[in-house]
Amino acid sequence: MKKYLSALVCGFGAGVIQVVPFAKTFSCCLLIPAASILALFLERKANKIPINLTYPVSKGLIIGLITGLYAAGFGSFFDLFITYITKNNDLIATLPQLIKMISELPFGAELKQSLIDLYKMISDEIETSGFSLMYTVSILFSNFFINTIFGMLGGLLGVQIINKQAKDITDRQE
Amino acid sequence: MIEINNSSSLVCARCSGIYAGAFLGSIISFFFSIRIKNRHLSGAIALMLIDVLLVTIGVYEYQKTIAFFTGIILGCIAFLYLYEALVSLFVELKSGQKN
Repeated sequence: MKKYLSALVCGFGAGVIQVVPFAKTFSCCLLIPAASILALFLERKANKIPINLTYPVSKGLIIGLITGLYAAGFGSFFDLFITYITKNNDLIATLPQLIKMISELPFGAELKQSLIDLYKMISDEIETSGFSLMYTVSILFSNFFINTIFGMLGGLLGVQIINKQAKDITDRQE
Repeated sequence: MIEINNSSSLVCARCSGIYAGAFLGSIISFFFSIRIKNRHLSGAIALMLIDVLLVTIGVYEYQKTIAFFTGIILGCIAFLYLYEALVSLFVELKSGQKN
């Protein structure tokens, strides 16, 4: 646990920002990689690794993956919790646009209608009870799938930044 | 979101730019070997942050074109970075197998 404390801290931060109304507009694909990069820098600082030492790429990948997992867990929890309390969320707010977008998709009319019905059912369930099993499953699945991928990408980017910085310092010392 | 012929993209203009930039970066890396430095990445991130900041404080309204192009620059540079990291990862894994 202590080994991946930086991933926990940054994953928690990313999870919280994912549900903050203004901040989440900037979070689509940059927040999780940024959290992974920050987690790597924190990890290096916590373990007092000198800045002229390079970092193993595989370790960066693992820290990125764990940051993504934490962010997905916390993000999903806060999203579902706020949805339960307020009985409202982005899905309900954007339902008309979503229906318009589905009707533009190149699928058969029957499939489009069943998709629209499904979204309306989810929306109704959230408005009445604040909870929808389908919404919960889809949020968990998409968050865990997307955040782990973006977390690993951020881990790779972070390692590359750290290693280039270390290389520059070594070159200057020589 | 970006709209072409009444069909909109499924992600925002900035993200579309990032993905398009990553695609562009993959093509560039296929033909040329470019060494990207930290300052290039910092510059690309700064461009995007400046755009977000100026929109937030109301200097100008959100423009898809600017968001898309700042995304392309960041996506392209980030891909070239990732590509180098992936090469290092494979080298690391290969040397790990030998040891």
